[in-house]
Amino acid sequence: MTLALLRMDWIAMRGGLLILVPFYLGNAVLFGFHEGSYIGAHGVLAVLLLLVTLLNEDRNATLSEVASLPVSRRQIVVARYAWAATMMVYCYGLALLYDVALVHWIPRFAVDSGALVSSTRVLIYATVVTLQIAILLPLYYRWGLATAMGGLAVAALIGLTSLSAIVMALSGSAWRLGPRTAMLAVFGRTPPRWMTLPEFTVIWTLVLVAILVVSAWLAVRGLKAREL
Amino acid sequence: MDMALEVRGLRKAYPGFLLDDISLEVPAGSVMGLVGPNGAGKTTLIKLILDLVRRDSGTIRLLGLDPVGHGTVRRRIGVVHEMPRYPHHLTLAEIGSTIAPFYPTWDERAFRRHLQAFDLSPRQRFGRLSRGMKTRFVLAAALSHHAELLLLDEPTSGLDPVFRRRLLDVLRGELQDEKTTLLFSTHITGDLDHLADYVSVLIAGRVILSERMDEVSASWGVVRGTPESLPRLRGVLRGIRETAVGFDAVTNDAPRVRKAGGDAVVVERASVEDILVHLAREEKMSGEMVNADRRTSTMERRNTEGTHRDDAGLESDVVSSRRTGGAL
Repeated sequence: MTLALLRMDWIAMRGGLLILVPFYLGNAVLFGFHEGSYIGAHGVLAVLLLLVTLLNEDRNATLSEVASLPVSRRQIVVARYAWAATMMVYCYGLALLYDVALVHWIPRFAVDSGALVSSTRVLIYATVVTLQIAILLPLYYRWGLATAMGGLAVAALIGLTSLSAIVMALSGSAWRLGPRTAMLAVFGRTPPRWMTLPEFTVIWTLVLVAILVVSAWLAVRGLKAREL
Repeated sequence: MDMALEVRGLRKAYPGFLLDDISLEVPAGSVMGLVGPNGAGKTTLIKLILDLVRRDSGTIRLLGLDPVGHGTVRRRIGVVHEMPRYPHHLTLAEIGSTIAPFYPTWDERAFRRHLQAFDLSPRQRFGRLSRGMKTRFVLAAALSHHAELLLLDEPTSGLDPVFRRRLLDVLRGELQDEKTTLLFSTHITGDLDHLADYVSVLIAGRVILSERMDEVSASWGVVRGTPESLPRLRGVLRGIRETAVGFDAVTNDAPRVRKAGGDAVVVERASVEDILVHLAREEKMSGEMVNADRRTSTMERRNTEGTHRDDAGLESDVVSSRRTGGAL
């Protein structure tokens, strides 16, 4: 049933997924950004696609129709998290393709091309996406899209500084370039030692998984409590 | 007798609205029409049955199972919501293909056949359909997985009379095997005459009447009479409307009223609409009486406290005629 729900999202959204193609073409032609240096931004694109999915569902009020199908509310939520994960992989893949193409056509970008698939970059990307999904979906399933977007905006305002600092810390050398006042006040000018440990990647991955699990649990509870 | 749907003591409270002590039984293979004015709670009741809305208390048995915790029972149910909602940019064929995997008994040929019968093309986009066409589409989908129970919320609302009749004919055809049970809500009471075996009247969140249609025809009547005959009949009349030249009301004991009223009254067969209109009036008057009672108690309290305030009184007899069963 979860797969059938995932397929439902795919059929409803497959046209919408192509909106990133003109974005990348315009980016390449007009700006020529090297996306490997801005991997965190792709996380925002993945969340944007998820938001478009939720917006479609909210605008057409299809949730009550979906909940009338022979599926449990837990399955509905799990399928949506699976869809979010799919968007995460899709956007990363697209970024990778973009960079490979850019390096191929403009050799000066080849300097840093290998870094795009490094564990640090993947982790930065996963952090950006996971934290946004973890805030967005439980709020959406309990109170609807307006509250979810408001919650995400508030969380972004509060957390942007510290989140950016963590992301910068993960990318090591970039830390000193990141004027993240709040984090500097807490940690000083260099990232704390635990953030630079070799095991940190594994630990941080587990933290992200835990955040997602708790978020999904809250989303299921939210949807079960909601009247459609 | 096997019951496709059993609802007992169901209660759901919202601020300003209460669905209270709802009990219904729909035998397998039968058709029940749920009628009531707008805002009576029909849609809420169907949502409660589907577990889209959480009940405060009471029990629901859907094909023998409680829908809470048995979501898979919905595989055996076809649902048509009052306002069908699917992504506007998808074609009917695409929506059909997204629904099909949820139903092991999905019959694609039946789906195409129903689309054709309802004058719909698989290539049409959902967002381009009128409200009536959307209802037709959702009904086509609901009929395409051979559901044991169909729950239709206002399926004929928004349909023109010609198509309404066609839709009722299609439904009657589907129900001919007497294996499929149908519960449908409507405020177009004429729909019941074509389909229903049972009728339940829901007014202001309460089931006022739930009977077989043939019993309704046999026992209920519209009563019209002179003002002089009213006092002796009041006990068995409901929803009385008094005018300068007489009264009209309904009764659930037509033979008795005919006998007791003699030439002073005319008793005619009551349609479901007659019953609904009069019972809705009775409920409204009852609500006004409760409010008037409250106002009167407040006034008495104020009078006791030395404050004088005039207030309108209502004839208590009118309310005493509620819930008949009293002797003539």
